[in-house]
Amino acid sequence: MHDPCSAGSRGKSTTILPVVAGLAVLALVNVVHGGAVRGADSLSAAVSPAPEISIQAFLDRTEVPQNRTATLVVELRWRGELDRYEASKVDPPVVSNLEIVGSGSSSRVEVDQSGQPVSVQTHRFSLKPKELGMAYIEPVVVLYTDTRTGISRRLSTQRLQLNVVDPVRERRGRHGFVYALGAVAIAAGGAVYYFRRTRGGVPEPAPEPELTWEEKLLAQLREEVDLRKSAFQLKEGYSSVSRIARSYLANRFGLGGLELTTDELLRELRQKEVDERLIAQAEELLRRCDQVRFGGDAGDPSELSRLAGVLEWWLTRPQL
Amino acid sequence: MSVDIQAIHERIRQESAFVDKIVNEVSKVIVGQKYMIDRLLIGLLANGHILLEGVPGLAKTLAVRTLSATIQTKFQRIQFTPDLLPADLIGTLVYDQHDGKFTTKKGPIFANLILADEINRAPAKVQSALLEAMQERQVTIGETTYPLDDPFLVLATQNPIEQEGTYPLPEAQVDRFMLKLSIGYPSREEELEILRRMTKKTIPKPAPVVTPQDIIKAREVVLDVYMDEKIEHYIVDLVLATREPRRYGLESLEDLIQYGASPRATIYLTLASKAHAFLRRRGYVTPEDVKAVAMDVLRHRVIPTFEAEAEEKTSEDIVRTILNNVETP
Repeated sequence: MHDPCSAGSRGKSTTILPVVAGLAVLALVNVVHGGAVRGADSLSAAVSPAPEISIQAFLDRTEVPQNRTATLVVELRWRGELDRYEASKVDPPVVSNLEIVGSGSSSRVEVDQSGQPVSVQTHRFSLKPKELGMAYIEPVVVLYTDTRTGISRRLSTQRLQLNVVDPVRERRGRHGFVYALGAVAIAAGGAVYYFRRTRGGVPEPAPEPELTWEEKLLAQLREEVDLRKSAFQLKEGYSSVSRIARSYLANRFGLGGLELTTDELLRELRQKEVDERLIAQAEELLRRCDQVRFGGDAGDPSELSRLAGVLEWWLTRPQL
Repeated sequence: MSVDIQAIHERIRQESAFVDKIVNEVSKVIVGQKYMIDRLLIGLLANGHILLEGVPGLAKTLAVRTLSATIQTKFQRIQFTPDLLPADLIGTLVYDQHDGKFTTKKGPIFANLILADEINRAPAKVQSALLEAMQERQVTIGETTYPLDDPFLVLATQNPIEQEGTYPLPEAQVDRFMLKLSIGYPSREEELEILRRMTKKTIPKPAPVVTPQDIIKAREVVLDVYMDEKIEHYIVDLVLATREPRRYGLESLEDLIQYGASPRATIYLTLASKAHAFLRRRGYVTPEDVKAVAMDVLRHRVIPTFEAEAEEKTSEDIVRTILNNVETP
């Protein structure tokens, strides 16, 4: 496949396209790889030098309040086992009007519909806005080597943009002064602790990578819907699946939170023109959970397990 | 706990057959106004009185008249005027010169369905007489107390724009209405249909299709509609949020609410939610049912402060904020 947007020739420099062109390319890449087509409001970009391996970068939101963080996900995906390609370290991207406050990476192997293994390497960067207005993330370049042929190539994502909006109100209430005083005390304590540790020559432990909201929800799902637990309550399991699914949809598509009913949530998803397949899955999952939670239905462990599987699938595929 | 929802579904299927008949008959006369008809049926099924508020000409009175015509029952329309007396409503003792005794003459309130038209045009003592009868479901004339018929449902209308020469209902008396409906204008298509239907030589008339016994039996099924504990907590949360908004993270409402909803709101919200589920042929209540009727149950029970009025915040704005922020189960 000849893709004019690709940057994949040996040792050559990367071609960077404008964002508009990058979005146009996205649909094509998704068709090639059988992925779900993303809504037009999603800021993302992808470039594919060969059908065997692709890179994709996207943000978890199109706009971010000044006092919150956005997550940039860079995902390298190829057919075959993890050792099929050897990728260089992904350096933090060059950003403007943003600050990188955390990062993390993970690798996993999936099985596609034809039963073939697909390796996925995911890198996440937490980005904190500096000022109101537009913020930009320059292309991320990854050098990879085909372990069979020894040939090295270069992959590049597109430039992404993020709109920084007014900060959301913090829940401080009238006791803000007391909290501020407490924060100063904690900061002072931390400074003393740090001073003692550095004087004593004890190295500071490396900070834990910040979990993304998907990872937090996934951990919550695995904790709350564990059918092996002896005290597990089936009805509570359905409640957990429903609550986590709502949180996922609210976060993913910028909807209202847990105050929405199933009908309201589905209506908002349709208004946002979310992929119909995802809406159909969400409707089946939420309505079935409602029947068990409110309709006196006893529920079924195997069904709950299947619904939890659907939810886990959503949470582990942020490109949905 | 597994509840026999299937049995409830089956009973609802049997007892709700009349609902479609009523809706069909009412639709022959009334164009659109689905919300109003739906809420009138909720009042009928949940045994709660209804206050309809809207500008003149929105078919409030016609809807109630049409609904009553579909039920084989006694209907009375009472036009409230400034010179109306309590005796004109509930009845009085009349002296018979022939045998020298007082005989009781019952008033128009002795009917199954009462249309109290423009209730805010009558003075407070007449309103009190009606509202007392609504609550107690009995009337005392002289020294004798008479129970009112079952079903007994009061549908009152009032016009929000003309305040000259009216007697606004006190909050404590408005609280006796289960629902307060705010009736809006029809859509363009509906307006066109009204034009065509209501300017013909013959205006369609509804036929009586339901007996009072059908309604009483349906009411029993409505009470059996299953409500999970989570929904009960949700209802209580909504009502408590009108009294203690800070507890629900709604500090901004703290200075806007003078009085929150009473426990009667909790009772009516529960009953109306069950009736809403019944009308959708469902044997259990969902948060959708609660949210659908919450505005009609709460809008007249939340009293805004002067600060709220100064900020042009109505009780509806307050209830909407609560509904949009209190977490659903």
